[in-house]
Amino acid sequence: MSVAQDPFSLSGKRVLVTGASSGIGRQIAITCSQVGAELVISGRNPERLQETKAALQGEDHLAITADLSQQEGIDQLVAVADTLHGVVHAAGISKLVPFRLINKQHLTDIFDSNTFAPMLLTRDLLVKKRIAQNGSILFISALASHSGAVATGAYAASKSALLGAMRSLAIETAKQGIRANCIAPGYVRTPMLDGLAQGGANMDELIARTPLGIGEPEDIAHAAVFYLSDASRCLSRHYTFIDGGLSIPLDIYA
Amino acid sequence: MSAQAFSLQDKTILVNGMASGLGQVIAQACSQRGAKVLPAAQPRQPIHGLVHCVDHALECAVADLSEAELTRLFHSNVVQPVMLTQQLLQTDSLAPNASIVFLLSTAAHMGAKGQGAYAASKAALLGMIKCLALEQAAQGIRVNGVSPRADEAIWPDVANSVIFLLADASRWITGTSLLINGAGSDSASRSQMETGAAA
Ligand SMILES: NC(=O)c1ccc[n+]([C@@H]2O[C@H](COP(=O)([O-])OP(=O)(O)OC[C@H]3O[C@@H](n4cnc5c(N)ncnc54)[C@H](OP(=O)(O)O)[C@@H]3O)[C@@H](O)[C@H]2O)c1
Repeated sequence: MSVAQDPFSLSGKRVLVTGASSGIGRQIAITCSQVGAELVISGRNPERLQETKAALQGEDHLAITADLSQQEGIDQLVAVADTLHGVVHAAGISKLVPFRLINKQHLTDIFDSNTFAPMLLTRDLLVKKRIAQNGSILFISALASHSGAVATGAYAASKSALLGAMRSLAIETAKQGIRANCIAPGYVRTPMLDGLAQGGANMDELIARTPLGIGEPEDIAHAAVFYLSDASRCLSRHYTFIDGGLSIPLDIYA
Repeated sequence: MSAQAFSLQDKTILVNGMASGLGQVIAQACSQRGAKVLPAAQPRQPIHGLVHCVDHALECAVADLSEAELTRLFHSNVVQPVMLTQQLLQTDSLAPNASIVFLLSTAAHMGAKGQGAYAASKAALLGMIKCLALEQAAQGIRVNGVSPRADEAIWPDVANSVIFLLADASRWITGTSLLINGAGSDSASRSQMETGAAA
């Protein structure tokens, strides 16, 4: 089978990945480059973003440092984005705060990075016609959107908000052949998970509940490649848990 | 390394219901990606992927349904694939980390007039997928489904979703079924999407 015909290949596609300076976003960028994509990567920390760029396979990749919770950051990225065949919104933050301690500032911080940034970046890319016909937009939500674990009130809300946003977007872009989907990971070994452990969560116990064990960033990256590739051209408006089976026995259908 | 994650090289895939139209398309796509495809289990041949392609349709209002029709439909759509899976488990025919894929339908998830028996038979598989996924996770065996809309034009795309679920690329995905809704690529699937309620 030649590479050009391979429906799982991303060769000839330009893909924007946010949150590429760490964890899941970094691995998505690396894996996409390994299956042929040309990357535009973004993150806040310039050193770690450059480390990702150095790890990409092939040349011609672009790295843009930008804080996407600010409109200027979104503007910078959209200005240089050029034509994109795929967009992966992997940037995000999490912080455990019990409901009684939630304040406006916490909600604003979480929603700015997790919800408003991917929605507004997508809006600007569409308005500036940066997303090609048959392009694929992928949001990264979280199992927390449905499981709403203790002290994840703001985080879970910011992630479940992506469900409605993605569903509505997918209808509006269907005529141009642009697809929108969302994957919701369970516990994946990244710096974010280390942060939760330092925040006092008993991660070992939580991870032990995952039937297939903790996930690796590669597991999310391979799913991202599938959703970006032509192999999934008949899939849109998906909200898929990628969680090693963690959600199966949970009481999330009440 | 990553391209390999989407390959089926060195995998033996058993396609249950290979004679059907979709079964043929899936079998051919799997062998094109490097798999050895079998129509039935063979002694001492570890199976890395099991794809169930049996799919019997029945259009009938629930008010008119006969017990014999309902029983026959459940036998072909549910009992046959589940019992074959059980037999392969009991004979240790599935390799560790094997992937099992059932064929469901959008009808398993969404209601439609005249589809009661068919939808129930496909939704039954959803329950089976979730419980079997938990039971087999310790062996690394994964259990998922594909839920395509009824449209022959998307069969090659159904095959690609099956390949993803069989390949190592999906090694952390279990207990789900991928809805293959057509993505609004044709007017029929688009109008289905657009009926989304604003309530
Ligand atoms: N790890 C898990 O178990 C898990 C589970 C479910 C969902 N998720 C989701 O997966 C995504 C990636 O998580 P991860 O575990 O890889 O986390 P991570 O290692 O902490 O990486 C987060 C990335 O997002 C970037 N980022 C955050 N806020 C940003 C902003 N305002 N503007 C631009 N970039 C921003 C960070 O940039 P800098 O580092 O440069 O600041 C970093 O590249 C997140 O959306 C997360 O919610 C993760």
